Amino acid sequence: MSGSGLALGLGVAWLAVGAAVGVALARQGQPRPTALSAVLAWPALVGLLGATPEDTAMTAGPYAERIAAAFQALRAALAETGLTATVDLPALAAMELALRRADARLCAVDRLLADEAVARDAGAERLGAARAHAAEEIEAVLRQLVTVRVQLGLVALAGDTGPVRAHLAELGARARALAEVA
Amino acid sequence: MSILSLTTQVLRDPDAVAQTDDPRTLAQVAPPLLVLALGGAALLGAAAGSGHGPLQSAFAAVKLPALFLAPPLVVLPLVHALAEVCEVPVGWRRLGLSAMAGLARSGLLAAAAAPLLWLPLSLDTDYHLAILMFVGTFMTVTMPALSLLSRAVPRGGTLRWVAVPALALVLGLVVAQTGWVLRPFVARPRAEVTFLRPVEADVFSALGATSRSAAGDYRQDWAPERAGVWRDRSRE
Repeated sequence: MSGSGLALGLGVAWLAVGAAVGVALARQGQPRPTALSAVLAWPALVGLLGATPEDTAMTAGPYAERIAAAFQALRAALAETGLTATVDLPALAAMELALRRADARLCAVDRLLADEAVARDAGAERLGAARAHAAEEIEAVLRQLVTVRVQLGLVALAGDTGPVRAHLAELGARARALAEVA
Repeated sequence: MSILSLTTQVLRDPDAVAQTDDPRTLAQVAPPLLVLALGGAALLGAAAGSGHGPLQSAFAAVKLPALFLAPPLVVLPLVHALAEVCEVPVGWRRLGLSAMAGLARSGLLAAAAAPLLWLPLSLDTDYHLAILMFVGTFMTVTMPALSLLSRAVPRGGTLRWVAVPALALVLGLVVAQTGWVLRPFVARPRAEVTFLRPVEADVFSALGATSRSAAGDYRQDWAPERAGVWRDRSRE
């Protein structure tokens, strides 16, 4: 095969796969620029195929940065101590997602409460109390994640991973419960 | 995030852009990162082809973004597999984001380097020297992409030291041969302007030949040292 034929064939195949990934992303509800980018850079964007539009369109709330930093630090600690394999990573990702969803809901409530008409309503006080409770729960889970990192250090020395896994499972349940709290 | 603030962040702290597994971040920043990568590469391509007229410049401006983009993305599955084997698993989204952020940073460097390459090429530089200058510039500007991609492999794991050099080696080989398939970027002085040349020999034999030619030894000018990976058997 000539050089031109080979390169053009590979180029067409690349674009065809990219178009398929782009269409799949667009049907999934991803923004149009993201779907168009997939035509050229589909290997970098195939990871979005499993994500729901809610995951990608979620508003960043008041705890967004702290949540991202906490999970980044936890993953780094897991990798540094060589304990990544001992933890249920999908469950960890689910916990992060639950926290981010709760954070996005806080953001929505904050916007509602900023409206003077809503703030004057009789139910606003109850909404404010529920918001404060949800925020406390998020704070508590973030504090516990720091404790988990401390436990990881101990596990690296002592070798018993049971308490860490149990703690993470408990935190996962607590993060999932945030949906009910909110 | 605007493309200007993203540009600043990619230049100042690309790790802050890349080190997350968040699908929302990937969906939001991938398009502007792609624009930065492709735009910068197109500028460098246009500069590389400028010594042979506007048509060659346009051809190179189309092909260099492909050379920029395809190899790092092609090796992503391999990086993922290597990391798994080496006990330092890394998520697809994190890998994709690291690749895109690295490419954007390299694209910005390529845009900055384009005038530096264009100047000597516009001064009727020797062809073989121009090739070496182009290869050197390309290797320099793509280093940040490789660096950021290697940093996507998490710390820890007993075999991380295997995963990162293996990534660098494979990526280097894929970039070199992709560039060879997509040549010419800097056309020969008396050659016809063409979008792609036939595949003959491989990049390593050609680089050996052009290094000798740049040093004044023209006895084997562009004659491949061996038959190459993809030999055109119809000519035998």
